[in-house]
Amino acid sequence: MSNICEVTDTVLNELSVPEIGVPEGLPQETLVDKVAVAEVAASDVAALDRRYMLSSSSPSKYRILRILVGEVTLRHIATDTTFRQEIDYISKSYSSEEGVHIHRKLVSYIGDEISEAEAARYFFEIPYSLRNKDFFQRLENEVTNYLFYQSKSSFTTAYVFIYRILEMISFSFPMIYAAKTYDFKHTYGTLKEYFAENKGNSVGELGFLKSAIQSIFKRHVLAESTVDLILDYESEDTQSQIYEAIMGVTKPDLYHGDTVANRKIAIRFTEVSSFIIIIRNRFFHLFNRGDKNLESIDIVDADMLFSKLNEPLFSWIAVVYLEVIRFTYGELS
Amino acid sequence: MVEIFKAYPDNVIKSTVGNGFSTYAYALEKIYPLVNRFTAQRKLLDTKFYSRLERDLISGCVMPHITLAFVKKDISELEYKSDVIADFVNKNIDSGYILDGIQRLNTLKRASGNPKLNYNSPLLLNIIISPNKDMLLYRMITLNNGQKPMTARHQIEILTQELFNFEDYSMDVQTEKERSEKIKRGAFNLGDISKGYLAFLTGNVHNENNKIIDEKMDQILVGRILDSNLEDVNVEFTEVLDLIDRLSKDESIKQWLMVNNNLIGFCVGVKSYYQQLKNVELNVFKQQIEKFESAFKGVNPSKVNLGKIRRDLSFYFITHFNDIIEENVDGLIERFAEVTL
Repeated sequence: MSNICEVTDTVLNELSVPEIGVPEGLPQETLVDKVAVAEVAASDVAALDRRYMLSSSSPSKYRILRILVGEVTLRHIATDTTFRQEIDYISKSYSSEEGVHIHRKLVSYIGDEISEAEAARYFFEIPYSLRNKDFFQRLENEVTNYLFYQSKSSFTTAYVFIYRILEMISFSFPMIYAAKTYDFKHTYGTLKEYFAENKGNSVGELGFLKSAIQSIFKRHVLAESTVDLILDYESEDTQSQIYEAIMGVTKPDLYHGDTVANRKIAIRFTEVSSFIIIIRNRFFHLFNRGDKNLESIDIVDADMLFSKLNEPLFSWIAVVYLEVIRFTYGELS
Repeated sequence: MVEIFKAYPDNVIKSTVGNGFSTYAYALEKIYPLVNRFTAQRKLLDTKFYSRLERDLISGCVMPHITLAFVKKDISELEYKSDVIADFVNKNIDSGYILDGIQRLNTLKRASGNPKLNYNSPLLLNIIISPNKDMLLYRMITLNNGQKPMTARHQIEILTQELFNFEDYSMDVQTEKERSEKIKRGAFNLGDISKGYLAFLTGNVHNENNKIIDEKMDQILVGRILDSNLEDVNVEFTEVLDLIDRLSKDESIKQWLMVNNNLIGFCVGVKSYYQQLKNVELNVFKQQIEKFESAFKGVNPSKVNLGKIRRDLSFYFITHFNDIIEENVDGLIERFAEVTL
């Protein structure tokens, strides 16, 4: 399988660029700083395990995490478009040491007591690096696709990839569930429920994804937090229109008391998967069952709607992915 | 002087809530000093907003309400009568707490350096008179939730010292500042007690997580406090402190409670098990914690989770105290193993 995007370290890239053109209005010294930073970073990397540097042979499992932590440059191969991903999506929930190298930061997100050398075994050494190789490679393509469409401001398309990522992660759930359970008493029944056929409604699918998330975040403190959609549109009218549209197709029990009408929608952490699915169902279908749908007239403009949804939802995805990594890391013996 | 317009019963915090007014002059003389009662003085915010307010005060704006709170065991004596309440407030002003408006009072103090300030301007007040301190803190957190400069955790730390009079106890309690000057052997840390109080208020032994960013953690803590139905709890933290004080008369129990993770589990456990524990004999409790320690060694928790498991197990131990009396060490190890799975 080949990749949709080529992924490289932003800082190292800047080193290999022979001449950095001076963008207008940028003072000269900032530029000098940039080169200096890049040089320092390069010498740091030399001292570190070189396997952490991104290359075409980096395993997808590692590369996805690296993308989520930021400071990467992506090239969309089919269109030869280059764009950057500078946001640390994990840092929106987890704190990390200040001023450490990005590889150190990434490892510290997995666990406090882990050395880079130890994590390197998990990421880069056979057999660990080969486990579920295909799965992670497919997932990487979904993630880079999301980022590509997001970078082009094609927010509606990007949202489709958020949904696809959620599905992929959740369907890897039986392994996670089995690894986490210390009580086999109900395992058969529980797993059977998840795989029960859909009876023509979305309860099965909703239930499946939601149980996956609830199992992953069982007794996790973040389960009590929220994912906040900030509706900072140009006008109060648009804000209330979008707010009403979203509220009109979802149930109030998805939301936390921190929700502020027309301004902020605070989705309960454990309900985010339901939110993603319901929005997808209400927008990408026009059911004729009498369910309320997101009518075009209600949402002003599709990209406008999704522009406020994608980033916070993707931060949530990032935290879920980190949790999956932590589980599989636990198998490292 | 403080005058009261009107007062009403608050059924959630079982308190008398009223509104009234005073003057800037009175506020500077009597209310502002209450700001300084907070030993851990909240940092002054020198924001644009407050310097703007300072200018406006001098030009004669009416400052938004300040909220003052008092603790009075029997509030029924006040009968919601304005004059009775005003009388109580004026007599007890020195023992009031500023629940909301510390920054505004600081701004008023700054403005008072300007001769143009009209000292007779009215200062509007909200008054809360509450029968116990937990209710007060609950209201404070609901009032201030969302204010950046002071997190829920920070408020509880400060208020623990303000609300409880540790002078009355035979156990010693030291603040961080006192510790830095001279460590008193066998004294509890105030910070440890406030962690116990936070655990009591949230009904949860896990309130610290340095991996999660502060903003999210604070949201989670406030959520826990608001969901903990404080008004239905039949024990006040003062009573918990009384019990800790009584148990600490035994040196080995005191040593056990001075381990902060034990204290945290104890404070949450006692919330639902106070009636069964309040008259426990010292030697019984002492034997039980010896059993606890032997069993804890048998659980063999990993170093990473040691603190977490100790909190969980001390909570379990307190809430199953009477069952555990019947158990021997091996039986307790088995119970502990099941709980920590």
